[in-house]
Amino acid sequence: MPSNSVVKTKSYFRSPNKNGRIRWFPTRYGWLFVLVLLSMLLGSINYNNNLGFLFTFLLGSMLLVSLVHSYGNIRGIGVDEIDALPVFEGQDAIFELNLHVLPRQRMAVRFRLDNSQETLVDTAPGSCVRVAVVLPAGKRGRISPRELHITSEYPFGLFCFHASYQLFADCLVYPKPVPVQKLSLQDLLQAHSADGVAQESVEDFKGLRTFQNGDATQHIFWKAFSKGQGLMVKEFMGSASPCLCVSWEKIRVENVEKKLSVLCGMVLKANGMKLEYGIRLPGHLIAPGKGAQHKHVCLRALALF
Amino acid sequence: MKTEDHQPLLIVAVLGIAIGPLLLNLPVWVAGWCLTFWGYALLAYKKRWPWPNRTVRLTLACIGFMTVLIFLGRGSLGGQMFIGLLSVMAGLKPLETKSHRDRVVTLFMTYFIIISSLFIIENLLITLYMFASVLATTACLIHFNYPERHLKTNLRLAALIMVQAIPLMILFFILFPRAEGTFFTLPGRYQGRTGFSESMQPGSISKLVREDRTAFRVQFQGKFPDTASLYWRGLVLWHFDGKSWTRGDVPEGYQPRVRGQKVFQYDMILEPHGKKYLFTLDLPLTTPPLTRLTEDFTLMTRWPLRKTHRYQVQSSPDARIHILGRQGQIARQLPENGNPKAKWLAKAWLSRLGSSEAVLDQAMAYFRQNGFSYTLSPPLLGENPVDDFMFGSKSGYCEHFASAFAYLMRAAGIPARIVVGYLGGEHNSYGNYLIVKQYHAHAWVEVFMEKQGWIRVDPTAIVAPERVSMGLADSLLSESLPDFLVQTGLGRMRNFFRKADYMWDAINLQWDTWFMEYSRLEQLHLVTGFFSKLAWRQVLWMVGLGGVLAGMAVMGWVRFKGAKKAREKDPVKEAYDLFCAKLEGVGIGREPSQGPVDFARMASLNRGDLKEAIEAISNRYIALRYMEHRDKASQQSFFKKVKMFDPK
Repeated sequence: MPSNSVVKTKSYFRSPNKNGRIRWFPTRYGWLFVLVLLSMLLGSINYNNNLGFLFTFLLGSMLLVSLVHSYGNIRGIGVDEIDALPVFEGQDAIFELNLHVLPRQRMAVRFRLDNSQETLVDTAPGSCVRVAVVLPAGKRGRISPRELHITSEYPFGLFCFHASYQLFADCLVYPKPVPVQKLSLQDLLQAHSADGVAQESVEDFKGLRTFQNGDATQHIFWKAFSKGQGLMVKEFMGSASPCLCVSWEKIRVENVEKKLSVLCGMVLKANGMKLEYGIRLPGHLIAPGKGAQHKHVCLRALALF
Repeated sequence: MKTEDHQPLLIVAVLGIAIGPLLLNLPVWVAGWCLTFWGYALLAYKKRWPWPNRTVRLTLACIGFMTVLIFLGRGSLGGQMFIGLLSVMAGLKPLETKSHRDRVVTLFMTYFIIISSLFIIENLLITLYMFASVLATTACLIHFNYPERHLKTNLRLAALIMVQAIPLMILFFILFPRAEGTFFTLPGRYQGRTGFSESMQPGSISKLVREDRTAFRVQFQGKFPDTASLYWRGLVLWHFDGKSWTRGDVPEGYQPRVRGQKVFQYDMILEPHGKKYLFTLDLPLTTPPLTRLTEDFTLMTRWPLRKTHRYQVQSSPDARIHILGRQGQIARQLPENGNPKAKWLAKAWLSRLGSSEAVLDQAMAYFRQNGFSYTLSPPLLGENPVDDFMFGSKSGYCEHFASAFAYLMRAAGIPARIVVGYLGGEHNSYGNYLIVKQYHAHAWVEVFMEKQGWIRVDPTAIVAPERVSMGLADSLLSESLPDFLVQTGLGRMRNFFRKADYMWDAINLQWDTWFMEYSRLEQLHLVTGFFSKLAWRQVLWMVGLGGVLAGMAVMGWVRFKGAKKAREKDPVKEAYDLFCAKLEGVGIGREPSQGPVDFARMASLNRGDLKEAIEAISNRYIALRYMEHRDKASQQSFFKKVKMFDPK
């Protein structure tokens, strides 16, 4: 999906092998098993029973061997890239981890970002694996999980092996859109309402025509008027199609977040109607445009406002 | 999850495997209990019957525990009760498999059942069986953690881990420090087994006759004694209350020294019997470590015997104890009342004949002549068992004869005592040792003669001499066996089975010798022996060889690592890096934050002429890199495209 890839946030590991120290500790079943083994050992010592010793040592050795298996299972797992598509406030952000290609099979490895839910993954030997980890998005802006936790209790579920990595990953969170039923043209529909936009489109100057009701006053060619040529209006390329400017000042809501939500809803509505639209925020201006990339630019401006 | 449905089935299977060897050692109702609930669990699993809820399970558990406490506990915490409780839980456990916790705890309990079976049945077969049940239980543990995987895969993993663990296990086994003796014991571990009791009454020995269990094995160094002198001395019984003989107040004192002409040295491998005395060939001359010989030549240990015990003794069949000492009084004790006829008879003999020797001869003659018979199933005796036996039934087993004979002697004022032990043994030619079984149990009398000292009198031998010369198996066993087995055709089969039995017994003894009896002493010998016996030349050799091997291992490891590194590098990624490098050569560098798509977009903006090639390579790269399974053809064509790509 190339249109998605455009807006994905990419993150990369910094030296995963340096900070990915593997730690291990028993699970609660592990503690219980150790207790079971100890009591068996005590019983064998007490009765001086060689068969008891043999059995206890068999179980103990199997536990030790399983630790080696566990270590091998988690060792060397690393992530090449982390992708995340932007989400809206309140949704779940999905971070896609592209794992190193591993020569051996890995079983039941769990991936977790900070406090997210865990994702359980088995890998086939030599294949590329993508792991999707879901993290609740929270407030608009960026969410940047600080740590990736890789854990596994393979094979007995008695010991947990754990590696954590420092991350520089983030995911853009757009404001929560307020559904907009219809765009009120009276307020919003303005041809090149902002000066900046007008200047940018100077090159697109097409010519002059006589003023009609409804034309923006900013585009009146006052020089011609002063020369007594009547009200002439500057005409620009592309202004034939309806073009709207989603403007901060026009939203009559006090709360900043709510304002942004309304603006977000408008952007989505305009994009859905395939309109050409620009956005105007205090100190920030985005020229009218169209398409997924443009939508992302607008929404990002809202997200990071 | 669909696969979770198998779990009751697996739990029943694993518990069944673990508890199987114990079933014979458990009371019938415990086995029935397990089978009932397992059956229900299986039916509930198959036919979707309702699973019992928590209340029902708790009620059942309470019923089970109470029953165990009442029938097996007998007020004390015995090993039998422990196993009973485990079995009751094992019966109920398959009914609660809903949570992972329940399942894992059940498996841990299964491990406990396995170790219990090892404690109770100590032989080679159970050792081999243990590996199978550990394998099954461990595979189950893995499977409960990863139920989505194939059971066979999990089984294979468990087997792999077990095989890898075995060398470590052996190392632990050899090197783990062993202690001597037992710190604390659970009473009644041998409650379920009959064996020698510390008293003798009519029927106490003949009940052992139907027991095919081995009492002990004897390895002689050098020659075997002849069959007639294979009297295995156990306990000496002093006190008679009119019905039963007990040890009574044992005369404690100095240990007399005896000497014999023919001396035999032998190793006894005694099966545990839970008592504090050992058996020896009559009469022992030496005492093994940690034992003590009482004045009546009973070999006592400090602890009740709870595991197979091996000890070395020297004995001489012709040794004699010449000192009566303070034992004379106790050895003439008789109850005031009861058995008047026998008492009268002995008194009449004494007054008629005068000397002890003559009375002894008379008594032996009396048993020989008066139609006594030797039988396994003697009739019940009344209030005066000696009188009833001597003047009524006249048929009995060795305890009847011994008891009556000792009674007569004491009534005539001759010091007499009962010795219980074993008589005879079966020669196992496969291992060249003697097996003494429970059915060899025997009782005889010792009387004190002024000139000869304590002499052995075996009244059974007077009545049934073949019991001594041929052994019990041939003289009496036919009585206890169904007729059809005795007939010749099946007799041959029995012979074959006995041979197979001997062979298996010899293998087991070998196993016991080098495994079960591995102790602190052997450990010390093995470990110190290993270091002390090494000469400097061998040490040099080992160091040299070890160095070479280590060097080879390191080299191999490095090469292996290198090969692994090469394998871990993704050729597709490498090709893409080459593509990026080519573009960088013409000034289009890839930022580290740029993914392949961003980069392709930027590159095609700069090089509109190459737009198609760039997009084709990038798209193919993304497809290949993140595909589950790559096909070789598209990978090859990708390589080719990158190779052909020339931005210059």
